[in-house]
Amino acid sequence: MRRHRLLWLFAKELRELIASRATLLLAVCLGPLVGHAFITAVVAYADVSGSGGGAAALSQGISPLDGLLVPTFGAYALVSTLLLPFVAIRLVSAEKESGALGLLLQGPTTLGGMISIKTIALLLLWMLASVPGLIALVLWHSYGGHLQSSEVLVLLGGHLLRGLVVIAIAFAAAAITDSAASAAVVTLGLTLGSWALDFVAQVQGGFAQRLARFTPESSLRLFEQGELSAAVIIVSLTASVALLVLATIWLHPGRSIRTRAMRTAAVLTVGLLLTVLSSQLRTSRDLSEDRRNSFSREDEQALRGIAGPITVTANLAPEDPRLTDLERSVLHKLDRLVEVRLTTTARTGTGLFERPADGYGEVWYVWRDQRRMTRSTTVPIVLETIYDLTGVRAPANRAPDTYAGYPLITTPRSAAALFYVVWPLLMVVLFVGRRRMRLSRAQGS
Amino acid sequence: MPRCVIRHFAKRFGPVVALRDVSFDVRESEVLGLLGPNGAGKTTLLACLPGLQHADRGSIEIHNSTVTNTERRALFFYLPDGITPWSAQPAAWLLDFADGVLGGSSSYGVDTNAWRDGQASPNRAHTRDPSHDALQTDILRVLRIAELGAQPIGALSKGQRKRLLLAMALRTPHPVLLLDEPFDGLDLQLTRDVIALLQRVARAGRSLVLSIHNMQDAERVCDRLVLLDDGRTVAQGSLDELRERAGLPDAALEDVFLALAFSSSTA
Repeated sequence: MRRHRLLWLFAKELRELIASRATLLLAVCLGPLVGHAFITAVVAYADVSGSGGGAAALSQGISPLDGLLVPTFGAYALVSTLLLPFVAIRLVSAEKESGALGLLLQGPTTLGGMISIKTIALLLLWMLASVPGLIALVLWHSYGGHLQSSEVLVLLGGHLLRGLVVIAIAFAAAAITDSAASAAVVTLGLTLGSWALDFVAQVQGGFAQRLARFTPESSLRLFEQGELSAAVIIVSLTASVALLVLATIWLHPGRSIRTRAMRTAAVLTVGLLLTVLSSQLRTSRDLSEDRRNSFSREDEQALRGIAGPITVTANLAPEDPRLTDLERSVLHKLDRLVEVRLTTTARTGTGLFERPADGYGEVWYVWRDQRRMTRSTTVPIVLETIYDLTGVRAPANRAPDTYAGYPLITTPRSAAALFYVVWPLLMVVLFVGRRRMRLSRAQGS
Repeated sequence: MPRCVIRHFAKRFGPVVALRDVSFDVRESEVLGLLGPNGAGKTTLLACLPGLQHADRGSIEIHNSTVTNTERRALFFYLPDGITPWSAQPAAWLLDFADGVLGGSSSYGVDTNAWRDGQASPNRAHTRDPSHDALQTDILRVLRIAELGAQPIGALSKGQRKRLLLAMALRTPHPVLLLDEPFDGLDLQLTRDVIALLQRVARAGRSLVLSIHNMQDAERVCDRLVLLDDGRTVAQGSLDELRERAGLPDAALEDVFLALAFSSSTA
């Protein structure tokens, strides 16, 4: 039976990935990186669980999500920033520079089809790359450690989405620039730019902060907290699709600069519009076991009855820890139920060198024509203020928080040998062995 | 009868003019040679025809109707000179892959009218006939593809790579095949064999447009010639027609070319 041409293309991408030294480097490095993160996390987890003979930390401190999953998979954030882009860039640049792209463009497959196949092949590679992380989870389970499947899936989904964004950035950079080296510089520049935006957002707040919600780093942070946010997912997908379309526009050598510029402007306009619209979405699911992104169920039911936005004016500097606390522990949870509009009115970044004003530290809550003020940033007091402000009756009884954490005092048995020795050797044997087999077949023929 | 007519192609790279005004026609079942000195615009023209390079001006017509950019992809297949695609992959794989992706190894009897009506496409499963199968076998035999086997494409010598890529191009189903320096890197015997093979491919129904430096090779393989100089068409026709035009009845192609290029530049 004749194989469909898209399957030929897909098989070709897999062959090219396997033949690439960048893929070998990624595969070999993953073991030690994940292993080091896992071993460190297990030891630290045992420490906070009371291995030194002292009392265990608070339940939040001995959550496997924070204590094991996030640090172990943190290795993937590093790999997706520093290694994955080069694998992706090679997949496009090598064909562009070797003349292979010119041959493919004369076949019936469209450039969009080719880029889609490349993206799928790379995403498959990225999913396969999660094997060391999954091995770490199996080890953790064998030590008697607890895992919540929803938290694992959300975290894996977050890394997959981040991988897609990185691949899309790398493809667009490889398509627009002349060489792989220039594409690498552009990709790393964009990564540094997103880090800078995160930093500026922390210092300045305001618009930069709203924009920084959707950087790859910030988006991943949400998944690391066990939250599935429609806005973050749709904005990331929109950005990825827009970048992939840009790659198809710029990769074709037969288009004039004018055509490319006009299509780029159209894609950016549509992409920006969709991004702005989808960033307004507040739908989200809290899939963390300890419900860290939610108020109590009783409070949530009551707060859902509030109609219209609540405007919060915080007279706090963007870097004031009280503002961070207010946002993370109260406003973020509240925004999942009621629209919250936050503005800060301080004049300096940290508030440390600001002339003390009478109102500094005040947080004003406005709903319709009602206004209330509190300086507190703790959940019970802010909720009390909001109930008072909106006239919604506070729940009489709240079910007690039963999450007690999962302390575990253990050692990372077999992990060092597995991740530092067995995994890298296995990858080298697989990649080099395959290459040698092909060479000996070539010599034989 | 013209398979297609190339009209007024022009292309600039910034201040450099690569093509000023190139026009000629490509006939069915012929080997057409594009001749010209370095910088005459041969490679640029070949890349512009299938749409791999943007032309500032120019059109392609079949039966007085203009071919769209998308349609060009099904009409022309261009094999550039000096490329090394998928260098890590085995040589034998390339032919299978090209067959699968470009719709290779199909009958060359693609009728231009049928193609225009969307009835024939590179991916269409064409009816096989014994002569077609014999030609396919000859392509592989003449170009000695079996010798290349599983060697990585990047490890092949220049001549071996040329043989492999020629085999790939000759197995594509596009009605017009554009080959840039098809004999570059081939030894004398192989050049003769490939010339015979190209003529056989043309007789089977395809049009071949070859960009050639070597005038002797051009004289031996081409049915008609298009002479380019400084981005312009200087002359076109069979060797005898060109000799007549140059007023050199028994001259070699090289002398005819020089005479026509000189008279064109002084005109």
